[in-house]
Order: sequence, then structure tokens, then C-alpha cells
Amino acid sequence: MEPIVTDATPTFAIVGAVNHGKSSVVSTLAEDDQIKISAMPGETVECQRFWLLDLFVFYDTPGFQNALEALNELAPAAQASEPLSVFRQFVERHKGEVEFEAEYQLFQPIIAGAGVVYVVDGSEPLLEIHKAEMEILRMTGQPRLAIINRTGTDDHVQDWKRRLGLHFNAVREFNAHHATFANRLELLETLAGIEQSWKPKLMRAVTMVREDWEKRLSECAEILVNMLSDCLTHEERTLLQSEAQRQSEERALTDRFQKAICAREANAHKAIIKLFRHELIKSETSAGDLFEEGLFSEQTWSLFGCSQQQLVALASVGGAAGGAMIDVMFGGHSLGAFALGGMAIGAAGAFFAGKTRPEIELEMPRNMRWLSPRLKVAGTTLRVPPYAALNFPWILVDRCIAIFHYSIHRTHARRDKVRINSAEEKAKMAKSGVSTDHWPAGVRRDCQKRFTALRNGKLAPKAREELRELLRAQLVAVSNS
Amino acid sequence: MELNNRDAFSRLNPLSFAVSVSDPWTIADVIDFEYLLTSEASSNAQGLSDHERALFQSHLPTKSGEEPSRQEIFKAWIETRREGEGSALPGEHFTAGWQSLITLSALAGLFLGGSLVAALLHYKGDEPVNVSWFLVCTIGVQLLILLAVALIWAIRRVTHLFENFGPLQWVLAGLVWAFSAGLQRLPGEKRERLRAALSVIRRKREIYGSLATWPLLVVTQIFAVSYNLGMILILLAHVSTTDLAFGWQSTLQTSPDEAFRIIRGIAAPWAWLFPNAHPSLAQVVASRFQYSAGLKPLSNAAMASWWPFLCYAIFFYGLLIRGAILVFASVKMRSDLKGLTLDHQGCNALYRKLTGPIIRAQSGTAILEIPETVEPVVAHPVRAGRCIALVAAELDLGREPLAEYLKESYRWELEAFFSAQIDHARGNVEALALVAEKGADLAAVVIVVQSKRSPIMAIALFLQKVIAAAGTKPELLLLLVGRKDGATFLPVGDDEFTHWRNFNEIRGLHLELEKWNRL
Repeated sequence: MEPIVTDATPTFAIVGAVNHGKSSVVSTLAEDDQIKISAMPGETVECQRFWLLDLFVFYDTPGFQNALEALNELAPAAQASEPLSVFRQFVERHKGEVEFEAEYQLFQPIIAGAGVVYVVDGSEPLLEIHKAEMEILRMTGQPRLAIINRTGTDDHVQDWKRRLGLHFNAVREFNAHHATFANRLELLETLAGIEQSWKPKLMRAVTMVREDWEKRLSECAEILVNMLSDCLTHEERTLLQSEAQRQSEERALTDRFQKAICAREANAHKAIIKLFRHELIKSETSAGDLFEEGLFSEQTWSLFGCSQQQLVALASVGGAAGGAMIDVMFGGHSLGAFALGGMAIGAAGAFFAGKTRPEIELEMPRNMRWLSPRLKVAGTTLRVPPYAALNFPWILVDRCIAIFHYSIHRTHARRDKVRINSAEEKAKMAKSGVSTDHWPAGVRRDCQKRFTALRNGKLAPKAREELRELLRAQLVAVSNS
Repeated sequence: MELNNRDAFSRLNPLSFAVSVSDPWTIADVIDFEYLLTSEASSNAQGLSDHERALFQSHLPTKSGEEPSRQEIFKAWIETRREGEGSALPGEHFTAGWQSLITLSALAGLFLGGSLVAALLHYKGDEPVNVSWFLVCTIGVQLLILLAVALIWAIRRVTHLFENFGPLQWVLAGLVWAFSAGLQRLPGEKRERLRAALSVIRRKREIYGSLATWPLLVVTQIFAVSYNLGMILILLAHVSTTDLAFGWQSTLQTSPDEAFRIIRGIAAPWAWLFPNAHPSLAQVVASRFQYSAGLKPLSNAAMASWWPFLCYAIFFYGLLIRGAILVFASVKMRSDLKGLTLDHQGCNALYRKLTGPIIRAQSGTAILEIPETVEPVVAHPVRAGRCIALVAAELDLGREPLAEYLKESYRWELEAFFSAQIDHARGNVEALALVAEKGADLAAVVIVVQSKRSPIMAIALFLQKVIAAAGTKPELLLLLVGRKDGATFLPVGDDEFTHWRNFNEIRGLHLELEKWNRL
């Protein structure tokens, strides 16, 4: 869809030296990972346009190729009453000339009135040719912002800052490969400040971007609830043809159950990634899994989800609640003995099970359960009931939070394949205090109650809404971390 | 076994592989040489391994008191590499393809020539075979084609009318134009690789000139020779197995005298050699066919007397001319191959690598040492002498280490050292003036650039100025230096080298490009 561009639409040409990260900055700002980016100098050969409604337009341009010669010819612009007319003449004069092919392209939006966003790589040294580029851009007389995007280990940021300060309205550091949502908003706000007439539209753009972000967080919470609902209630059945096949059938059924759960989880992960507009993300593994470790691996169960202490606490609360119900049935004459007993049993179970993954159990249908094996005839149904492991929903949530954390911190300028190491990602989450074991105990308890209800198929719409809000609040915390 | 096959090939065909390095170069050698040169350019190896060097030495001809020539050295290197490669190199595929093409051309020529004559000699008994039409179809068309080619060649030599006539160039230019929009949309790496490949094709045509033309000419002439041979064979077969009658006819009032004069003129080249070179006047008179009179008034002996003349005509105007062109093309191809200077871009670096001192890296250390006992293969590998260095201004590189490196690696004495603004073509006036002044006396002009710098248009313009100032005599070397890390420089990255190599090709600079990995 074409933008509704008017004269009042803030337009910016992203310019700079070859291979200093212009396309990376545009890619990150526009949240578009389909922009061509590579380590090869001169990847961009044509101006490309990106926009948000009629609120702003960005032009990604080819890098300067012949700035010193261009400066020589553009020198009269410094004295001209209408500097852009000198640039216009330059463009007309050199149309089709290979020597100024890039300058011809990159001056086009500026001549049309675009503001200038000059991108430099703070890890590269400041050369004479860069000073010429700055001088050319100063002579345009257009609103100008300089962005220092440091891509390497060398540090020349201070040299750049000193020089950029002489030529630009504002200078900002912005790492296109590590920028967060807050960094992006901050940069848009800075752009709003370099030209008064553009401020209203750009501030509206900032508000829109913020609202869009909030909406995405809500959608992400919805994805989580849907996935939990699917995974916690999923069961598998198969018809047992003969007792001799029982073992192989059981194995096959357990495998099918695990695959079904994994597929549901993977779909949720993909949906989250897509929600944050990572269209080109590909897994490094041939199987397509984003995590190095599978959902049912021992390492996943030891790393993700609640800690053993937290599990003991959750189990004791659950046990107490169950026991309390029996106390109520006895009209309180048991004096809370069942509640206490339930609490003790739950806590002991959680303590001894620890963080290990409980086996997936199979069962006969209820009416066949107590029959002797000899009496169990062919044609009966084998069933894997919903997985009741206490830590299971927490592991699912934790892994989704990890994907969410990764998606919002992976800028759209990156083109590498994804391979999430569970231990590394968990460590990052723990450092930011966003993994489920860092959630407030009250939130965990509230969530656990709803997980239990969800598993039993007794989650009321209102409780479902509450669960979504609980999860959303945690996603907001991750987003702000 | 493979070598034996190649040996058999080489005896049959001037384009085939040759086992002995004293054998002249073949087209297959040129193809393999270019293929290996390309892979060698991006290699980080400082020289041959011990095993390769031993093989290489064994392939060098042993001539007392004489240094091996460039051709011999490179040929020995190709043989060394061929033996080291697990699979066949492109030259072998070319030879196989070329052999097939020759066989096909010969068979197609025989078949088509024979078919044409068989069709022309189709004789029902009511009308003799028309001699004029037979001559036009068999040799007339061939002579017309030759005449047209000769005319274009003469016009090209005398005037500038067909100066830019280059069908291959047109095809290339057309391809580039047709794909230009698609090229822009390609990812940068692919786009640059493709553009570089097209530039390389153009460049190779410049380097090897007509060398690409001769094999094509040989194939077409083999076809033409077989075509004429096929015509003669079928004519003789028909003459000896069927009762043929030849006659001439014309609507015009052509007298037999005039016809006889024309025939005698055509037969002039062989008339002195053969008694039956052409029919006599009486036979010409007796073989004129008129529809009103039919065949009856014509003499059988006169009608049969034409076939030797037709045979000689095809032999002298077809077979002999085509044979002569075939021999000429083969001889020219051999002489062009013999005259290859092999000093274009990349050759000097390889030459130095092959003929310079052996450099070995000790295990566990990056330091390279030159064993004192090992002598270079050739005393003066590439022209020794003085050189001027233009070092990129941003590069923190002193004169001393550069001078030492150039002396040690190239035997060049550093005469002048300039810190150059390599992205400013109009700058560096002093340096360029000195290069222009001393260019003819210099062995080389060395431009030292940091490999991580983006090769931009401004640098291409500066390098073009250096090339123009230096003239054709000195070697122009673009020396890439890696990223600085403390007091040393890191090795040049493969990606960076590829970017510079593509840039060198696309911008048509054709500079020698080397990595300086010994800092």
C-alpha cells in the first residue's frame, strides 16, 4: 500500500558512508527484516521507501561513493540562498554518470525536502571523506540528525561525536543490532525534535507505535493462554488390538502425545515471533526447533519453570485446598485435619519429585482400570490423559517468555539463524528478573490456581480473562526489562 | 592410465593435454591455468607444499645454463596441480567436448555434402544434370560466403566501418542490459559476483584476443573440408555406379564458344596438370541441352566428359581452400599459444610464489622463516628494481617495514613513500606527478590499502589515475593489509579479499591484488 504522503509528512533520508549500517538502522526502526543487509559494502544500490501511514517516511539510500569530488562541485551551495537548487543542478548534471551514481540516488529525497539522518559506524575511524560527507549534508540546510551505530569492537565514538556536533542538530548513539523498543521510541522522539513542523505528526507516530506495542503484548498473552489451554487438556487415545502389542502401542502413544504437545508449543512460538514482525527468522537446526533442547528433555525441566521450593509451596497450597474441601464436607468437625494432611502430602510429593520430569502415564478407561490384565481384552482403548506434572505449565510459560524475550531483543537488522541455548537464555532472563521463578509469589499462586482449573476443564471465561491479564502484566515487565 | 590417455590425445590433437612440459601450451592448458589462477588468488598459502614443490621441480625442463621460461614454469605448475586434483579440471572437459564437436562436425559435413550432391545428381533420363546449377550449389555458395567474409575483413582493415563488430561483446552487453533490473534486486554478494564474472569474461577476451576464435575456426573448417570431401566421394560413387548425363543450358543466347571460355577459365588452376581438366569445345557444343530438342541430339560421350571437371572444381575451389584455411587456423593457434606472455593480472603473484624463496610456517607459530639453504628456482623472479609506494593515509604503516617487505618479497627497492588520500582522485598531486615522471624506470607502483575499507567509486577513480600516470611499464600492485590489532596487523579476511577482487574486476582496474599477511 502506498503512503498518503503530503508536504507535511515528515520524510527522512537515511544517508551515510558505505557499509556504516544505514540499512540496519532502517530495518530496526521500521521493524522490517526483509530489507537487504549484508557485510558486503554497497549492498543498497537504490533508494527504498518505508513509511507509517502518513506519519513519517524513511528512505534507505546507497552510501556515499565519491563525497570529496561531490563536495568540490557542491561548494557554491554554502553561499547560495537556495542551497537545494545547487544540489538539483548537480543531480541533473550527473544523471547516468557512473562516477556519481550513488550521490545521484541519495540526493533525490533530500532535494524533495527530506530531513537527513546521517548514520556513522562508531567503530570505524573518522576520515577526510566522512568530513566531506558531513559538510555536504550541512550545506543542504535540511533538518539533520546523526546516529552513531557502533558495529565493531574498535571505539572511535568520541572522535565522531566531536565532529558530528559541529554539523548536526542532534547526535544520538543507536546500536541497530541491540536496540530495544524503548531505544526505538527514543529515536523517533529525537527525530520529532529536530524540526518543529514535523513534531505533531511524529509524536502521533510515537503514540501509535506505543499503542501498537501494547496491543501486541495483549495478543502475546492470548497466545500463551491458548497454548496452555491446548497443552494442558490434550490427551491421546488408541485402540489396543491385542495384548501382545500393548508395549509397542504404549510407546507409540506416548510419542504421539509428546509430538502433539511439542507441535502446539512450536506453533505458539512461531506466532509470537511473527507478532514481532520477524518474518525471516529461521532455525539453525534441521528439525526447525528454535531451542537446542526439546520440551521434554531433562535439561529443559531442570532449567525452566519454578524452583523446587516454589513447587513445594504451590503443591502444598493445592493439597491444602483439596483437603479443605473435605473438611467442609465434614462440616468442620475434622478441624482442618484434611487441609493439613493435603498440604503435607502435596508438599512431600513436590519435594521428592523435585524438578525431574515425571513419566507420562498411560491409563485404561475408568471402567477397565481395576480389571486384571488377563481380563483385559483386545479392542480396549489406551489413553494418555492430560499431563498433570506440576511444573509442566510453568515450563511451557517460561519457554514462551524466553521466545518473547528473544523476539523483542532481536533487532530486525539481524540476519543470522536462530539457535536458542536454553541455559544461556534462562541466564539472561534470570538476570533481567523476568523468568517465572522470579515472578511474585502471589502471581504464581494465582496463575497456578487457573492452570489447575484449565487442566480440569473448569476455567470460567472470567478466570481465563484474569489469567490473560496476569500473563500480560508479566510480559510488560519483560518488555520494560 | 589417465596420463596415457592424455598422451594419446596430444598426438591426435593440438588442443589436447600434453604430458611432457616441453610440449607447447594447449587451449586446455589455458583454461586450466585461468581456473587454477582464480582459486590461487584467494588462497592464503605462501608457496607450494614440500610435496607439490618436488612434483613441480620434476615437471620443469632441465636445460643446462638456461632458466625456465614463464610458460614452462606455469605449465609445470598446471601439471603439478592436475596431479594433485582429485577430479578432472575444466580443460579436460573442454578437450573432451572439443573432440566430440570435431567428430560431429566431420560427420555432419560428410553427410550434408554427400546429400547435396546426391540430390543434385538425381537423374530421371529425360534431362541431363545441369552443370551450371551443380557448380553454383556445390562451390558457388561456398565461394560467396568466403568472399563476403574476406570483404568484411578488408573493409575492417582499411576503414573503421566494422571496427566495433563483436558479436560476443554484443551478446554480453545485451545480457547485462536485459538482466540489469534483476541484477539490482539480487542480494549484494550475488550481484557483485555476477558483475565480476561478466567483467572477467570481457577481460579474458582482451588478454587472449583471437585465441578463442581459432578453435571455432578449426571446427568450422573441419566441417567444410568434410563437406567437400563428402561431395567428391558421392560424385565419384554416382559416376562409377550409375549412367549419368551432364549438360548445360541457358535461356540467353550464349554461344558454345563463350561457355567454353568460361569453363576453361574456371579450370585454369588445374588445366596444366590434368589432360581431362575440362571438356573440349566440341564436347561443350555436343552437350548443350534444349527442351525443344530433348536428349536425342546430344552426344553420350560429351555428356559424360563433364564429371572430371566437376570433381576438380570441388577439389580446388572447395576442399583445397578449406584445407588451407584449416592449416592456417591450426598454425595460428599454435603460434598464438606459443606467444602467450602470461603476465596479466594474477600471473606475477603466482610467478613469485613459484619462483621465490620457500617460506615455511613452523608448527605452533605464525612466524614464517626463510631457510637459508633453499635457493630460489629463478634468480630474479619478476623484474627487480625500484618502486614507489602509495600508502592509504589512514593506515598506520611506517616506511621501514614496508621497504623491508617489498625488498624481501618482491626484490623491489622502495624509492619513494607517500601517504595518499586514496579516496580523492584529484588529490595526491605530488605522488601522482612522481609516478608519471619515473613510471618508465620503475619496476612497480605499490598501493597499500586497508582491506576492511569499503572499495568505493572514489577509490576506483584514484586507482585509475595511478594506472594512467604509471603507464604500461611498471607492475601495479594493490597490497591489502588486514585490521590493526595493537602493534600488528591481523590477516586479511577472505570476505574482504573477495570484495576487493570483485571491485578490481567490476571497475576494470586489473591490478595485481595481493594480501600482506606477514606483518
